[in-house]
Amino acid sequence: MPTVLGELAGIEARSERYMDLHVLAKIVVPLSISLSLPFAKEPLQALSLVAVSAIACAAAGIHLSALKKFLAVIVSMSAFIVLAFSLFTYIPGRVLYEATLWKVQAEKGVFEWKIAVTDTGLLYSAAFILRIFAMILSATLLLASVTDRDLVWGLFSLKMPFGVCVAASLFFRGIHLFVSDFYTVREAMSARGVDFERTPLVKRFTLYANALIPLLSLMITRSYEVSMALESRGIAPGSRSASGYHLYRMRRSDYAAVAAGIALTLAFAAWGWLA
Amino acid sequence: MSKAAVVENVWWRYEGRSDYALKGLSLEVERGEVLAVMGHSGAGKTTLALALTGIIPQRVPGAFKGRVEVLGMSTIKADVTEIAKRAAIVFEDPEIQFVMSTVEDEIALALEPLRIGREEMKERIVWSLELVGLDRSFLGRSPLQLSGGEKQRVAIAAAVAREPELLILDEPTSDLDPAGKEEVVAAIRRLRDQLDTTVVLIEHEPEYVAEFADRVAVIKEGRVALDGEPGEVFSRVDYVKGCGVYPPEVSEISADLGLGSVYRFDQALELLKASVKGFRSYSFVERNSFGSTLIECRDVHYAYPNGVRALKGVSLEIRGGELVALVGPNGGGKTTLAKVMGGLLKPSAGEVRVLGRRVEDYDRLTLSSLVGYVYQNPDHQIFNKSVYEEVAFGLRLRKLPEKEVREKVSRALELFELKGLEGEHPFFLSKGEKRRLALASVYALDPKVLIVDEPTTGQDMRFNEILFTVLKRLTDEGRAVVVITHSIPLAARYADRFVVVKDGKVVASGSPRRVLTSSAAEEGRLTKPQVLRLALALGLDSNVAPLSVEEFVKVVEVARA
Amino acid sequence: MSGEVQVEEMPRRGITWMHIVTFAFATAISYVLAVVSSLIFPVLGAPGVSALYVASAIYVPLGIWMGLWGCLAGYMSCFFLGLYPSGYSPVQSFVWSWADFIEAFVPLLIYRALKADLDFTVKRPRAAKLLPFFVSSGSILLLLGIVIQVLWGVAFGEPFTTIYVVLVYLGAALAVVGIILGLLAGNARTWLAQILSIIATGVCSGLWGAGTLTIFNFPPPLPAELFWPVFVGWVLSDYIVLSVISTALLIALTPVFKRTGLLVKGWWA
Repeated sequence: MPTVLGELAGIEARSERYMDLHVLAKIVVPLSISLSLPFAKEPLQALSLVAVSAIACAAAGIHLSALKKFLAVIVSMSAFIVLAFSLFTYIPGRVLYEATLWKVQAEKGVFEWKIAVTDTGLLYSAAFILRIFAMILSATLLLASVTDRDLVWGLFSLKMPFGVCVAASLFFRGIHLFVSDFYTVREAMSARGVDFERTPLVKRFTLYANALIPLLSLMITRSYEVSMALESRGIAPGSRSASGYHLYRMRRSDYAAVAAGIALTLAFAAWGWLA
Repeated sequence: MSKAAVVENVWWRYEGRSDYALKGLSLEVERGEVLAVMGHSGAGKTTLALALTGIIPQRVPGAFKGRVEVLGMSTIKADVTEIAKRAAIVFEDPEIQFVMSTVEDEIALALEPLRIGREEMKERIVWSLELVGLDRSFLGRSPLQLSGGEKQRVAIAAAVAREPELLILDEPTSDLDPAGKEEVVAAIRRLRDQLDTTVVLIEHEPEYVAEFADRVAVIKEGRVALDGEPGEVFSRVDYVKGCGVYPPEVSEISADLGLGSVYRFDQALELLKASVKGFRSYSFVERNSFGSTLIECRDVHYAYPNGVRALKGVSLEIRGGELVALVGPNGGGKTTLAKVMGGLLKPSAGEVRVLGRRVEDYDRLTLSSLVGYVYQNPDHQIFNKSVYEEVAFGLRLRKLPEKEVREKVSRALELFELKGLEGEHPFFLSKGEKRRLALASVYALDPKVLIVDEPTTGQDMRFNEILFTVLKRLTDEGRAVVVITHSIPLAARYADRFVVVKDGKVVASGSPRRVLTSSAAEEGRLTKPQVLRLALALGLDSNVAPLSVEEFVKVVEVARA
Repeated sequence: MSGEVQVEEMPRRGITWMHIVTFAFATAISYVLAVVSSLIFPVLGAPGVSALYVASAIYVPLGIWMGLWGCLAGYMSCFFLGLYPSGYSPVQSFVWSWADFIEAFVPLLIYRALKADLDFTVKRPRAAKLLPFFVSSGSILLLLGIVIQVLWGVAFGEPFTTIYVVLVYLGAALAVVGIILGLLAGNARTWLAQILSIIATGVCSGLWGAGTLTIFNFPPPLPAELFWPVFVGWVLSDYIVLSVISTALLIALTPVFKRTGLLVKGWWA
C-alpha cells in the first residue's frame, strides 16, 4: 500500500514492524518530534532533536538519503536564515565580517544597510538550520509511514461519519488521478501547438488559466459521477459505520510507541525550561 | 407476483437544461427477468437507471413528474438509502465507482447499509468476488492496479454482495477493451446462472443483448419506442436503426435474405447451412494505392521513465489518403506509438520522420500543424469557455488574421455538425458533441495527418458510424487518419489497413480482411465481426471473407444464383 | 410536453455526496498544483511560498462557488504542502495552513457582504482584459509604498517618505482605474466584489502566512527578520494569480457551477 510520500517522491518506510503500528502511533511519533521543536532553541538541543528524528526515521526504515529530495529546501532556507541574521538585522557579538551595502543620508539620520556576520548570529543560524532538519525528518516520517488505508481505517474506527472517511480516501485517489490529468492536459496543449518553454511569461499566465479549465471540468464531471456511485451505495454522508468491520485495535507496541513520543516531548520541554 | 419496477409517465428535466431527458416514459420490469434497454446516446437510458434507484429525483436537481415504484417502494417517498438496500447499480465507467484503497474495503463499504456483522461481511466479500470470477488474492489489491475488466468485475461484486433483488447494469462493457468485455460478460453469465435477481441491462452491443435478454426495450428521445422479445425487436431492422440501435448482424442478414426473425448466431448458422449448399469464389475490391509517405517510423524504441519498454523496434509508414486502424490488446503500445508519431513523445532509439524531416527538427507549432492528435477523453483537450473559442484556440495561437480564423472555424464546425453551438459552453455538450468538438479543433489546424485515440469508446453505434464516415471523408482529401480503436467490426468496414500492435511490436500490418483471417487476429485478441465468424463457420474460404452485412449478403446471393 | 411540470415535493437537500466528493477532489487538485507551483516557481528561502501559487486559483474561486468547502480545500491542500515538499513539521503546517483558509474565506465574506450575484458575464471584453494589470499593479505599488513607509519612512523620513507618497498615489490611481474597468466590464456588484477580494485577501492571507513562517508558530521555521520579504512576495504572488488566473476561471466556470447545482447558497449547502 503506497504512502503519500511513496506516491509523490518514492520515499517509503520499509520497516515492517514500524508499518504494522497503529495509525495513531505512526502519527504521534512524528507529532511528538514536531511538538519538541519549540523547546529546541539552542544548537545542542536542536542537534539532539535531529539525532532523535534520524533514529526514528532509521527505525521506520526510511533511508536518510530521502533528505536528498529536500536538498533545495535545506540549502535555500539555510542561506536565507544566515542572511536574515546578517543582512536584515544585527545580532550583537564578535563581528566576523562586516560590509556596508547601501548608505543614504535621510532626513532624520543616516540609513545604513549593511551585512554583519557575528558569532552569535551564526549560533542562532545554526540552531535554526538544525531545527530545519528535525522539521523535515518529522514530516518525512509522517508522510512516508502513514498510508491512505491507515488513515481511512483510523477514521472508521473512530466512528467518524462516512463523509469524512470517504473524503479522506478520495483525496488520496484524487492526487493520483489529477497528477495524471495534469500531465495529459499539458501534453494536449503541446499537441495544439503550445510550447511552454518558449512562451513569454505573460502569455504563459493566461495559458495556465486555459490549462486549469479542463482540470476543473474533469473534477466536476468526476465528482458528479463518483457522487452518483456513492448515492447508489445507500450510505448517507452523515451516517456512521455500524458493522464494526474496521477493527483497529492498539497493541502493546503501539502504546509503547505513543508513550515514547510523549516522553520525548516532555523531556525536551523540561530541558528547554531548565536551560 | 408484483412487478420489480413500474415507471409511469415519467418526465424529467435536469436543472439548467431546457430539454427534457425523459418525456413521459412508461415501462414495467417483471420480477426475475433480464430486461435489456437499448437506445442512442442521450436517449435517456442512464437517466432511467438513476430514476430506478431514486437518485433521480432525490439527489439530482431538476424537475420531475410521474411515478416510479421499485420493489414496491415509491422512489419519492422511500429514501435512496432504503432503496439501495434492495436495488443496486453498476455504472459504465469502472474508475468512478471506486472510492476506497483496496478491493476488500470497496466491497465492505457497499455492504455497510445492510448493517450486518463483521463475519458475515467477510463471507459475503469473498463470495461476491468468486461469483464474478476473482479470487481472494484480489482482496488487498488497489482497484487502480487492476485491468479494466477486473475493475468492472469488482464493481459488480460490490453490487451483488448486497444480494439485490434488482440489479441495474448500465453499459458495463462500454469502456472496456475486448478482453475486458469477455471477462465481464463471463461474470454476467455466472450471475444469471447463480443469482435469482431481476436484471436491467443497459447495453449497446446487440450480441450481448441477444445472449442475455428476455425482453428488449428501445428508448428514443426520452420515450420507449419499442418493447418486446429480442427476436421481435431485432426483426424490425430499419425501425430500430432509426432509433440508434443496431441489431445483431445475423438479424440484418436474416432480414435481407428472408430467413425470418433471427437474432442468435446459432439460429442463423443453422438456417444458412440449410439454405446455402455451396459457396462460389468471390473477390472483394480492396484499395491498394495511396499517396506519399507522410510519417515514417524506423526501428523506434520507447521506454517510460519507470523503465517499462513500451515500443521495441517498430517500423511503420503512414501514407496520404489512408485510414489506418491501430488495434491490439490494452497495454500493447498503441497509444505510445501514436504519441511518438505525433511528436509528443521522444523515442529512446530509432527515428520518426514527418514529411521526410526528422521530428526533432520541427518546432512545436509547425509539427502540431502537420500532425494533429485527438485524445481519448475530449475533456483533456477542451481549454475554452465556448465552442467557437475552442476551435479558434489553435488558430489564434498561430496568430492568423481574425477573418481567416472565422472561416476555418466555420468550416470545421460545419464538417463536424456543430453549427449552431458556437456560443455553447463545452462542458454542457453531450459526450458525442465533445468528441466532435475535439476533432473540429484539431481539424481546423489543417493537419496532414490526424491521429485519433479511441474515439468510439462509450459511444453508440450510430455515432461511431457517423464518426468513421467523417474520418473516411478526410482521407478522401488526401490526409492520413490513424485511429486507435477496439471497435474491430466497425473499423474493418472503413479502414484501409489494420496495424496490430502487441507487446511493443507490430505483429501484423495489412488489409482488415487479411489480418482478421490470419493468426494475427488471435494474437492481437481482435474481436471478429459476427458476419466473418458466421462466414468462417459456414466454411467460407478466408479469401472470400465478408466484413459487413452487405458483403455477406452479396456472397450468399452469388452462391444462390 | 404541454403545460407545466408538477415538481414533487422533495426533501430539502443538505450536504450531499456531491459536495463532499467535489471538496475531496478540489483538495487533491489544489495540492497537486501547490506542489508543482512551489517546485517550479519557488520563493527561495520560504518553502511552500511560490511566486506563482496556481493552487489558489482553484480554492479561492471554489470558496466563492461552494462556500466553506473551498476554504477547507485551501486549508487541507496547504497542510499537506507544508509537510511535503516544504518539510514543515505537522504542528507548524497545522498553524501555517490557516493562511490559505483565510485566502478563500475573505473573498467569500466580501461576496456575501456585498450580496454579489456571481454574474461574470463580460459585457466589455477589453475592460475585462485590462483589469488584472491595473488592479494587480496598483495594489502592488500601494503595498510597496506602505511597506517602505513602515520600515523606513517613519524612522528616517526623506527620501523614503517621498517614495512612499509617489508609490501610494500611483498605486491608488492604477487601482482606481482597475476598479472603474471592473465596473464597466460587466455586473458592477460582482466585479467590485472580485476586485476588493483580490486586494483584501492577499494582505490578510499574507499576514497570517508570513507571520506563521517567521513570527508566531511552534516554532516559526524562519527568523522574524524575514517577515517583510516573505510577506511582500506572498502578496505579490496572490495579486497576480488571483487577478489573472482566478478571474479567468470565474468567468469560464461560474456557469458550470450554476447549472450543475454545485453552487452553495449557505456556508456548506
